[in-house]
Amino acid sequence: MNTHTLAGDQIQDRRFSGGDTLDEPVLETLMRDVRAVGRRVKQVLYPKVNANVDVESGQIIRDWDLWGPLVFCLFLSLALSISAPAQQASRVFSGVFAFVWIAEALVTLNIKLLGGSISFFHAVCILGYALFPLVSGAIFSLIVKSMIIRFPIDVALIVWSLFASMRTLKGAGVREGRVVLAMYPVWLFYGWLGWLCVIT
Amino acid sequence: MAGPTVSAGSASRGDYDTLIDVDAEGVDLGETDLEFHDFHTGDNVQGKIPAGGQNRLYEPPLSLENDPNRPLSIWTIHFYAQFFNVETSDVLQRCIYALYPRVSFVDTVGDNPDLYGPFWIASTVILVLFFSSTLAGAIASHVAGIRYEYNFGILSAAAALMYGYTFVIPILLWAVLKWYRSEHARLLECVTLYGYANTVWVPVALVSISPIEIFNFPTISNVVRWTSAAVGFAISTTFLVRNLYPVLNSTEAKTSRILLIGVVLAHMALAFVVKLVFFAYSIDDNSN
Repeated sequence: MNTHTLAGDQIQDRRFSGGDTLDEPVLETLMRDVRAVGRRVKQVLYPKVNANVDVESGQIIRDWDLWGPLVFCLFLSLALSISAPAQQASRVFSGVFAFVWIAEALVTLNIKLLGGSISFFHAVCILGYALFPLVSGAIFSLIVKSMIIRFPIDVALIVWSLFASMRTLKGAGVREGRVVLAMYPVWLFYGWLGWLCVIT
Repeated sequence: MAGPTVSAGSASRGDYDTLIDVDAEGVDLGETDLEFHDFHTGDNVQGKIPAGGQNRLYEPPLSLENDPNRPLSIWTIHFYAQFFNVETSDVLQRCIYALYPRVSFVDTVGDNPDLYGPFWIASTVILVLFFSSTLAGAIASHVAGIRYEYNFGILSAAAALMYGYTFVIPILLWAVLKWYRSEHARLLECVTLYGYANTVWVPVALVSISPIEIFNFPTISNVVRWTSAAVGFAISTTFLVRNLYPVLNSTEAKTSRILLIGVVLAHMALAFVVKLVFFAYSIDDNSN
């Protein structure tokens, strides 16, 4: 659906195709984005066995956005910073926040340099959405204090994040012989964040 | 709109290439420059092409530039993609040669030094050092019966140490070699060498966790840690020296000896720092 500006140019709204959105209540605008984030979380994290669904789910993911990654990163940093030792709280918050974004950028850059054919923000979007299990792990660590209990649960959450992102990245379009090279930094990324959830 | 007029009658001239009637010479066609997008059709692609070529996700792979004569600008990604021209098997093989330095590494690398190894091995060492250091601390605290409080500064210390050592020392070495006009000095090979030499710190860190501490044997675990650091130092220095020896020898005898000693000393300092900063736990002292 095209909207018209005064100059007569046509602007194609990339995501929403339901008409003029200027007059709707603010809550409606927000909820639309919230629902989109929710759809993407579900699509990245729940394994879909049916191959036919892939086409439609590919469409959802194709419109990348960075709201989900930002929200998850914030919650992760918050949760880890709250449960961190007292004088470290602000250092942990800024450290984790910076680590997540820098690491996502480096992992994606690595994929591009190895010859990957995935677009930059698309990969960052997937990596960010697959953080969701670790966010729940960090919140879980706020409640459960014993490291022995946290460990197997966090391992399971790391594996879930890993498989979700690897499945959605689908090898990121690099050559067969380099898929491990491209995916290895992803393992480092989620593995370290999971470990932080264990020892916090 | 200023510009040449389009004349339909020009087709009668039999020249179908000129549909634009140029009125006078010197007409500037600059603003009507037609440039077609260079869509790579993928006929140069050697590897897997993702299904659905019309997919918006598809961008031409960077490492397969199809114009070898065009010089690559250092401001593009294409320039750096040259240094990532390795397969998984190559990287693994290079790591194994770093741990078991019997083959000449420089021969293995050949003309293809890579930056993937140095950067990601250094990153792995950083994260593994953090993991091992905090795990050792957690064990020590558990034995002492106190709640473990990790120190996030370990990560920044590890990052500064490993990235600094892996990238700054080779640059210094290369600069010194260049100063003495050695014709063997190649920056990328030095960086690759130092980068792969770091692989040994991963097993060293893992061994230094030394869960024997759980059984209340602090001295033994200290011994284990020092031993593993020493073994790591030995292996990586052998690797470095063996491969740097021909390069260093291309300078005069005195210079090459000094350089060799410098390389070994720098590496010894690294081994000491790894042990002292990250694994200095004892039972009654668990703040690092």
